Amino acid sequence: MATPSLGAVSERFPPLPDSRSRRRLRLPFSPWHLFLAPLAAIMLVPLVWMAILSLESEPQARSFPPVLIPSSLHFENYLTTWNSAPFGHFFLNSALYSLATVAGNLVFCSLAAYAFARIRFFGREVLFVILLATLMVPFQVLLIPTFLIVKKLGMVDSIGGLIVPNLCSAFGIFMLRQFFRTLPIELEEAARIDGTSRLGILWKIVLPLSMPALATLAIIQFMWSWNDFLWPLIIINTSTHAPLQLGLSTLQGAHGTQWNLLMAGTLMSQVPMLAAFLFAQRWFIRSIAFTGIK
Amino acid sequence: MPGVTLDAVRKEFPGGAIAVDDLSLEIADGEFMILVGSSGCGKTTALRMIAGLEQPSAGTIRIGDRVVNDVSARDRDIAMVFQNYALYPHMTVARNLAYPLRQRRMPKREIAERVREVAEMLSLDGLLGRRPAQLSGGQRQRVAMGRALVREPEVFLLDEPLSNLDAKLRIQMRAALKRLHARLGVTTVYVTHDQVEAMTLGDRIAVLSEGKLQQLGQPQEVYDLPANAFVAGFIGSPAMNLLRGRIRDGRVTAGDLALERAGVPDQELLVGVRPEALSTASEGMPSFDLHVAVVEPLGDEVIVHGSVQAEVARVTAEESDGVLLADDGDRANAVARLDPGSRPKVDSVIRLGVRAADVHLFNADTGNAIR
Repeated sequence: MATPSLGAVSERFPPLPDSRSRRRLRLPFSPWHLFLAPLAAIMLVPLVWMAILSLESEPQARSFPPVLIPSSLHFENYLTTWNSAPFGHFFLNSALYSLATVAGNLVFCSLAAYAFARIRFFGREVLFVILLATLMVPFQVLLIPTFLIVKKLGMVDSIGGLIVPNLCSAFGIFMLRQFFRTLPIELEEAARIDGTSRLGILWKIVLPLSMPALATLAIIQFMWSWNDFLWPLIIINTSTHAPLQLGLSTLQGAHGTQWNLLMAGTLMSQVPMLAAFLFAQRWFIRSIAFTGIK
Repeated sequence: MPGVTLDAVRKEFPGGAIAVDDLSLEIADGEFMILVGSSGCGKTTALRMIAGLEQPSAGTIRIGDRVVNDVSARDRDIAMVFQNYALYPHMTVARNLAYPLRQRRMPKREIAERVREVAEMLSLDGLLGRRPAQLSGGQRQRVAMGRALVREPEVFLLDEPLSNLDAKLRIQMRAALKRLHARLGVTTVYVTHDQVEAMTLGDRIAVLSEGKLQQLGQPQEVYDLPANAFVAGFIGSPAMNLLRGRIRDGRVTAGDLALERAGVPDQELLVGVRPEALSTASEGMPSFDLHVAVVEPLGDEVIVHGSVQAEVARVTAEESDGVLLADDGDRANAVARLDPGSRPKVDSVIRLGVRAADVHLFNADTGNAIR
């Protein structure tokens, strides 16, 4: 005696009459992509244009309407740009400036943020409000006082003068404080009972659990320092101390700009940014901070 | 191994909320002390003060002979298991267990040895390489216990350690805890709202309500002789039936329940009868009528909910019976635990009796027991 086949079963249980009408049109991607993909394309246009311009000859780059598909590719633009100014120096200065301010922000902001998040002290809330208020003051307003302080410190026209005013930021403190406050307090209490000091708790418990926030702060600060133009413009006078953005501006002459070379330089300057982003991306995954708590 | 002494300890939070009020407790060396009470009664705050996570507003806390009010948590030589375990999520089980020892700069070889021992004791051997996220609730609970045990602390503090486990696991861990304490003999303070845990685990239990100590004693003693109406209603499940009544010339009446009690002056009373003290009435027994509303057969017993003719007395804030069966005028809800042979019918009236000695009397105003 044969066991009933699947066909027999489905005959006995025919599909419900409305099951077909319920089947919806299924896209192979999320409907959001219909909206986001064009948006991404718009964001890419300047980048693509920059890349195209950097490979064109000078007359092509200057022509109007712009040449979108160049007849020949001038890769030598990159070499010309590199040799036209001490780019190696610029890169090194930018790297120093960016890495030092990232390190400074991670250390000093997390210390201050932890105090604001967890240590009870007199005037904490007032101080924090004052700190937040400084976020609303534009840098242009602080430019002259900051310059005067740096001048008093004898750091004008030095890498130190670039770095020191940017070692800690109100934004970084605010961001980390908000994140630290979301961490379960029991973890810190358990660590206290297990014999850890305040600083030890920050170092061994809080910071390892705050990787996503630290990575975010690091990349924001890196981006900011790497692209900073105004402060270096004010504080740096000699090209040996100039970071990239300031150095690139030397390609922009008073009487004419070689756009193809400027774009080649700009594109080169953006490579480390991309690398930094890709490197930090793996930390942007969801925080694991809550998995030890039932 | 030292005991723990709380002397007139008080905790007032900023804003004026008083969590613990004039709490005095002497926990003997090696004793298993339970702090029990409903939520918000101050039991966890009391534990946190012993741990050094909260500063008492007044009073002294001693561990052994040392006053620890101003000693930081890490110098108190205590270990604590948190309700939500508080395992370090970025560390493996082995590193979690080793953490308190590493903080005390113990030699590596000794750390490895102790971690191995504790892992074996709690059957965590196979899990040492995992992270907390990869563990089940029961395993996390054992790791939390292990992290507290590994240090061989002088005092062991547990804050509702079983409340996140399912019923079966809770019973297993309860037994395991009891065995562990018998084996190690560490002074233990255990906070729970579960009165079964309180009854089964504790050498003594301290019943708290609204920050005040209501009664301190061995579990059986607290069950047999509750000091006041709150304790009577809190310890025991289902809760003790408490009815309004009075005593005149040595005769107690509450609704249609009446009995003699010599030597008690006339006053308004709360009359308490435990559900398990009730049985089908026989001749000469103090008794009353129960109008049956719900019958819950449990196999070995039958829980009967119903109403009696009396005014109900509310002593606990979270009395749940009232939600199920609303009090109706001059009738009060009552619960009886009967043997399964007496299968009462819903809507019938049964006559329940109680031995006069099993009736508890409390003063209606103060709630204090009258003996």
